Amino acid sequence: MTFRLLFGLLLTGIAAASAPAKDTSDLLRPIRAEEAVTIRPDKAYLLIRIDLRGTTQDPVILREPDAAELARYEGARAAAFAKRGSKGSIESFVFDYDGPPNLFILSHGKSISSDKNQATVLVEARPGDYVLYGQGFGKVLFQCHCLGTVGFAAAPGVVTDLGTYLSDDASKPSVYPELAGETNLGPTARMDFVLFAGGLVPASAGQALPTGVDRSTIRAAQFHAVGPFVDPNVWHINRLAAIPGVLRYDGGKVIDVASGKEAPPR
Amino acid sequence: MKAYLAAAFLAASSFPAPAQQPVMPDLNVPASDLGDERKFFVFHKAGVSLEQARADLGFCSRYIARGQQRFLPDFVAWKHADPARPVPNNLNYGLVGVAIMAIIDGPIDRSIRQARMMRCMLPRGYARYRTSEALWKRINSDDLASAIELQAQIASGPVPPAPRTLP
Repeated sequence: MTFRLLFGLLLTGIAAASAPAKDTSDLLRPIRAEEAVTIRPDKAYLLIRIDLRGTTQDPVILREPDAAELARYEGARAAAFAKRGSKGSIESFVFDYDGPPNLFILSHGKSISSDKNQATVLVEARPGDYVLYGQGFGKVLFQCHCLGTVGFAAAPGVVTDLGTYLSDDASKPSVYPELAGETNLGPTARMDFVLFAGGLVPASAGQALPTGVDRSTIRAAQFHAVGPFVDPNVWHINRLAAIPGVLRYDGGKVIDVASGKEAPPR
Repeated sequence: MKAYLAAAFLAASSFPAPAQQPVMPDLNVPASDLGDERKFFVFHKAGVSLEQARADLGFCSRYIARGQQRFLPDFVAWKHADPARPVPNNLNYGLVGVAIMAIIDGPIDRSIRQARMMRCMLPRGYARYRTSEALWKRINSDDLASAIELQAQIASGPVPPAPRTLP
């Protein structure tokens, strides 16, 4: 098992290292400690604390593509499919899109402040509707919150405070009480690749802010539940832990607490 | 197995009924033949209907296809799922890399698949019961529709006569 684990991680590392670097700073850019924080009216700002006492996995967010982005993607995909010939269906066509990305990792290694227990990440991003998509490390999306998660809007000209992201080994009891229902799953959650549990604690009023961030610019994120979705291009799948007042589960159903309605599968 | 996993992604949301009803296997497995409990198990839920078990297993089978993990940043269309991206099979180490991947790829596929099925099925109230590697392979055949039907019959039938895997 250890051999397979090491070899798999080697595979991951080699592939990541060979991936071409893209300058995506106009779409999402971490603001570092040495930088003065200036809030632009045309940009959204996302603030998240990443608790490091469990694992050091980082949250991955998706900005829902707008109609123009989707049209560009679909056009490029159709053209590539046609160029390749009509073997198989376009639904099963694996397409390498080199257009502007919308899936980003919020790396604790690119924080605006940190200590041994927590890193605070502030990013300048494009305004829009976002989904807490999963978690990863470095440049790798390790697992998705495909079985249930949350979404939020990021408005321009303000800092949307997402609260604190938690991650821990799902096979063992967690250091976080918020993850109690998603952890201690036993050794099946530790075969070859560790399954992680993920959770989010929404921001509370008066929570500490990084130096240079004006409290008047802060808005607590308004979360809604996001139903199951499929992404086979990950190692593992999991669901975000239930969040009181926001997200709960009824068996396999994802329930948006505020509306009382199911967030249906995609 | 690869073709099976790819088919799972494309077909599981509306998989066809099997061409012929699969034959229910004998789940009595001698203790000495039970496989690794992390990997070789069947699902069961007391009181669940066959129809509901089919729906649950069909839903969760949407997740068993394993593709190459995404490297970030990336683009996700979101309104529809991407297909599984082929996993590299040689690591640029020539025949040695191909040989090693041939050895480890199947077991990795299986362990990822089982972890995903567990994560999807446990919240739906299903428990796991141990079985042998040979029986597991028979139950999880390359015919996805038959595999789901067989698993659904097991899940909604009598409690399997094998030790339960916790949780």
